[in-house]
Amino acid sequence: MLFIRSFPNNLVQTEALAEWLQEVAVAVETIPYHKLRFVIHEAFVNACKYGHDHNANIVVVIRKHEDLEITITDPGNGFEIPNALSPFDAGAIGLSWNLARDRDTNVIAELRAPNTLSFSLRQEKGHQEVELMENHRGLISILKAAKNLSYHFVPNSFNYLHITC
Amino acid sequence: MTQFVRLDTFPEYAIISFQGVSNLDANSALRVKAEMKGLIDEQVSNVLIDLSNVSFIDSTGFGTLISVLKTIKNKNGKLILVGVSPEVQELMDLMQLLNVFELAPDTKSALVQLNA
Repeated sequence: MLFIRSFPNNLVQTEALAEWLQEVAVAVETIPYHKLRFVIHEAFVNACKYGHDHNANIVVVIRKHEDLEITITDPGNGFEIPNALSPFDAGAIGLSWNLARDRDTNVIAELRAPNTLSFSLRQEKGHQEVELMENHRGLISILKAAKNLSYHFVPNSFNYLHITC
Repeated sequence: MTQFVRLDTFPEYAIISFQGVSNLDANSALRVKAEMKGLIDEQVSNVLIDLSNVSFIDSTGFGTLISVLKTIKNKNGKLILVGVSPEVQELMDLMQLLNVFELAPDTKSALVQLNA
């Protein structure tokens, strides 16, 4: 099963996105609507907030295989690689860093391939202060709900976020 | 402009409810946050937030609730979320926030919890 829809790059579109996802959730049957909505909503909001090209639409692609594969285009520049490295630099493969932390959770980013950033959560005890940080809050939320999360840089085109649920 | 947030104050507590807002998300949360901060004055320390009309909360909305929780805690008060739907509770569970907030099914139960 394949679902594709394009939305204008505007936060107001989250309502239309939610309506469409209601139909998708019924069709795929494997994930509750509110969870599917939460994951894709967070990715869509991130794409809107950090996308520089406000004329570019945001395309959401959902494929149902064994898992649910979700791809969302990002009209932004993507993530900065440490040491001013390029995500296409083969020498940077294997590089990992702490992208963000939220309460007792660290978000680890790793350049797995010349154009692919993978994200994972690492728990760390000892920080009791409740917080949901402003930057990367959406990313942390998706990571808590999804099986896998990666970001793909594409030369001369839009980058995209890939989520497996 | 119509207010999103309504505040009803009583001697020992205040109840915050939402009007015309079913989503606490990136679209509404900033305005809701600003209105709530303006309403929670020095006199209010115990607050019940009625979420019975709210069907969806995203990370920005949870951030807003956490911000209110911090304000209330700084005043040694108590914050209770009332009437949280099972769907929103599941999202709170995903975000590992169920042990952060105190929940009550209705106002009556929340008042019992306030006085416990």
